[in-house]
Amino acid sequence: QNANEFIPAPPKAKKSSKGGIPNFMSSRPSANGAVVDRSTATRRDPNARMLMEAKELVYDFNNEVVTAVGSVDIYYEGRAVQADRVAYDQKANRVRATGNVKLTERDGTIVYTDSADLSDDLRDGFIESIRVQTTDNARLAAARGRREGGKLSVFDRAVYTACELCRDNPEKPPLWQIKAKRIIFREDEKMVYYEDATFELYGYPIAWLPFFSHPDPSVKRKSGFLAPTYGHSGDIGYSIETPYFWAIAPNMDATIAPIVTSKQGVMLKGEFRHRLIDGAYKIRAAGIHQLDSDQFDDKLDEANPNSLTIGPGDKDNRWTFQSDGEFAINDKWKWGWDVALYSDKWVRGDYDLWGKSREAVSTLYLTGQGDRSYFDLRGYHFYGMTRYDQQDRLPNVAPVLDYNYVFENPVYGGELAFNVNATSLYREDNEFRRGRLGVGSFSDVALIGAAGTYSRLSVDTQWRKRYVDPIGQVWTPFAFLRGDLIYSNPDSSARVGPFLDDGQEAFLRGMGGVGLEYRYPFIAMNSLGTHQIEPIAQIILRPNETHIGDFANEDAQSLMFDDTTLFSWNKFSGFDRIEGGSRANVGLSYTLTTAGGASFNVMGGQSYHLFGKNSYANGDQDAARTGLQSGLETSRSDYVAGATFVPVKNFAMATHFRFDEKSFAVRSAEVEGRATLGRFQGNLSYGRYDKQPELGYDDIREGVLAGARVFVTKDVYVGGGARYNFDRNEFDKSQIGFGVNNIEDCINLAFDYIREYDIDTSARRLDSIDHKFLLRVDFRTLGSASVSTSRSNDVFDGEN
Amino acid sequence: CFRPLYSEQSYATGPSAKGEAPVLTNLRRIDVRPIEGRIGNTLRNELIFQLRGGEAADATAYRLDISIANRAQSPIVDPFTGQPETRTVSLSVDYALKPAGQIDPVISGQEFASASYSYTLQRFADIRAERDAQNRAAVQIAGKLRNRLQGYFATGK
Amino acid sequence: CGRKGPLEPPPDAPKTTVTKPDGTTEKKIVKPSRPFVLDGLLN
Repeated sequence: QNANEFIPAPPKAKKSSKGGIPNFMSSRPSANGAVVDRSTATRRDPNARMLMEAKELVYDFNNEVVTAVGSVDIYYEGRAVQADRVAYDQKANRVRATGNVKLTERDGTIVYTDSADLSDDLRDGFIESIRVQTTDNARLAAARGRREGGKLSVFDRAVYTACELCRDNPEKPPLWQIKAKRIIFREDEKMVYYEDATFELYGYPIAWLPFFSHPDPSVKRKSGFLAPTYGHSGDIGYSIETPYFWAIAPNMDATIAPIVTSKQGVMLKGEFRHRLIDGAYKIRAAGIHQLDSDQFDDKLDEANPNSLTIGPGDKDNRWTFQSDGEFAINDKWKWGWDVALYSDKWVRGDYDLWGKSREAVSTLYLTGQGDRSYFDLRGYHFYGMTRYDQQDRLPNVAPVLDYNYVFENPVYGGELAFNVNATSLYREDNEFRRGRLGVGSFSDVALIGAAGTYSRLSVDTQWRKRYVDPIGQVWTPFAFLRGDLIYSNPDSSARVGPFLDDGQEAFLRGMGGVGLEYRYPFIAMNSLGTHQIEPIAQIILRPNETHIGDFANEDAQSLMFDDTTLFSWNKFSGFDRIEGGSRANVGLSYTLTTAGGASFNVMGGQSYHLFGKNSYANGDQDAARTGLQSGLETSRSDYVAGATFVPVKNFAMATHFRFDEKSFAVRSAEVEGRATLGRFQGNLSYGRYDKQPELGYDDIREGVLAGARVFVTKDVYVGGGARYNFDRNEFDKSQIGFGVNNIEDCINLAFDYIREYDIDTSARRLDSIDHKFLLRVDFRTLGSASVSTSRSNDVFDGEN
Repeated sequence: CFRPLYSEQSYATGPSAKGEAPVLTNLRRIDVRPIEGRIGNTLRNELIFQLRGGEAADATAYRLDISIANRAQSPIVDPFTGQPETRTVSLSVDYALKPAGQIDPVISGQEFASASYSYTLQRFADIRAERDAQNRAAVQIAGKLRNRLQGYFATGK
Repeated sequence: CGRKGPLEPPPDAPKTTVTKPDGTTEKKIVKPSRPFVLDGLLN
């Protein structure tokens, strides 16, 4: 869960121009700095003429010195020099300018100085007390500037900053600046070296380094040490991570980052990235042999030594291994992997390795996409990292094949399509959903994970054709056929008895059906816009679903009946169950499109089980109990309705409701909305789902998540977000933060405070609250630093 | 007042094939550009049926460009495990309809749809439920795009 | 100190020059297009 899960990401910060620290130093052949540079590549242009304008020109023939006095302008090969007084010594080939001299480079960099002694092509020379402003308006001032051999610029007693100097009193120190006895820019190495450098914030020196260097910002990749990060936590003590980036080749690099911790010794953490012609992959690994593992050997109840251990316990060697990669075979096919393996659930959290993570889904896949077809073959391995996850309850699933194909040309005049799904999984231990079935004691209510092996191959084909009669009625006959081959071998255990009979068995399940969909769209126009109203009716004739409960339900456990499933021919969400019996679905849809392009759509309806076995009422035979209390189990289903509202671009809201068919009680309600209006960005998600005790949901599930960010000024934003859990009637996660961009055009600042339950599984008490403070400071053209601390305390501090 | 959208006499812009409502002829002449990704493939297949009703493609008169933004959120989270109890997928689609050979669109805009599913600690069941929710949202959007397009052809706006 | 930036395409990658609408040409990496045994599955 990233820090700004509630608030949509702000629009991309203004991209600073490509210029670097004073990119007048950058390596382009054009001139740089106070003095003109002619890189060796371009020959001197023989017939380039130097233009010189001034109020008064004084020729001193015997010394061959031409002196221009009074607002002198000199242009030579795209460079300009303005000064009060310029003496051009033709014999010594020197140009001496004095009195508020202004040198302008080809690339627009401007240098102000008091006196400049330049070579005649304004290429090399000495400058006194120069001030430089680069094209991406970073600023450098130095007592003396010297340029040698077109490759090396040396500035003595120099000050560099990217901040805007305030006009009315330039003496006020800029927000931040780097003062150095000497700044050397090696153009050939594209490196900037500082000697005896002091970093000053608001004029106060806060860091001093004898030597300090960084690549010229126009350089994107450069081997060298990256900014170190510091940390502290109870279990590992003080830690410092000093990453070294090694750019092996333009398409390959490695980052080796030893983490020295005061209590646990040294952890080696590394990342290797490699890009090839067809794709790219990366490997991230970290490992440590802990010196003091007892720090992690927390007991749930400290007083009682043999109480449940939470946390990694006395495990000494802790490691993580992650790798992902994707390669294109050709323009339609690609394959790849995304693997995450850990020594234990807590290692990434404890050592803050690439941020905490609660998901560890490893997958290997081959994917192909054609014009109207899609093929996906993959395998899964899951590693549960929450406190309640038990590894042997999570399945290894291989293969999972999904192959969807729609014929481009009509077959029998209509559209023929087929879908293939193959799933095969194995897990070692069962997972039950437990509940009180309303009021009784806790018991197993549903089996949502059967131990043993389960494999299924399903093929279904469907045909449909739309006819429109002269008066505008739309008739869409359709037919479908489905065959499933299932091999089920659940481990035998007493607890599984009531849900699944064990023993190795194979089943063949078939289903077929025909149906007709009727629509009659009407349209009207008035000043408000275009109105469309459309009654919809659907009838499906088909035999009963067979083998309900004879095998596990692994991929069709979730069933949310609302307007998005009203007109599906099979309302189950997976292949393990299939809707049987004959059914009619009826609905009415109304759409308004205003002249301004806003769109509003509302649809409602109901589903009727006509005859045969109602697959949803028979959910009690299904091991996962899917279908029970879904609103479809009665012959007359609940009423469902949905509305979508897109008044203006980037402002959209969708709602879905389900009402009891007798009492009109709200069985489920959802609102999902997002808005980016001018300076306001909002995000809302609300859900309320009625109790379903027969599925293990004994309480109403209700929660709302809302986040917003407002740009008070162009550069300052304030944001906040919260998630409120109605069941516990409290905010289980809330976050506030602010950000200030371009403070004096050289600092971006972002601060976030997050308060949430400490779901880090090693927390001793279940209800302890974690307070996290994140501060990120970005010094334009230099780099950024971030500091995050988190402290968790128990909600009832007074108690323990 | 209201009149049938697909009836032959219905006023509409553009050519009409033999005995067919002009709206339908126009809908059949839209070439939906390929959309990258599984959700794009599902949305495009469903939209093509909504536009052509299963018939062969006609000479292209319009080109429809679609881009999809896919997001998922969890309003209800079990505070102790941090795992969601339900999850809502939302698709936001930007579309632009351009007459063949022209650059600036005649109509463009955004459509939005969401679908939810129950989330448990069985991650495989969650992955399949999310895939189904994405398909449901894609089918919703295909229907809304058909309504928008046929509204345009029937009224010229 | 160094700077970590995005990877660049491999230097020996075959390139074709593509002229952008504004007339400037640009080197683009040639995408792999070798036949694959399952190509027949996709239309």
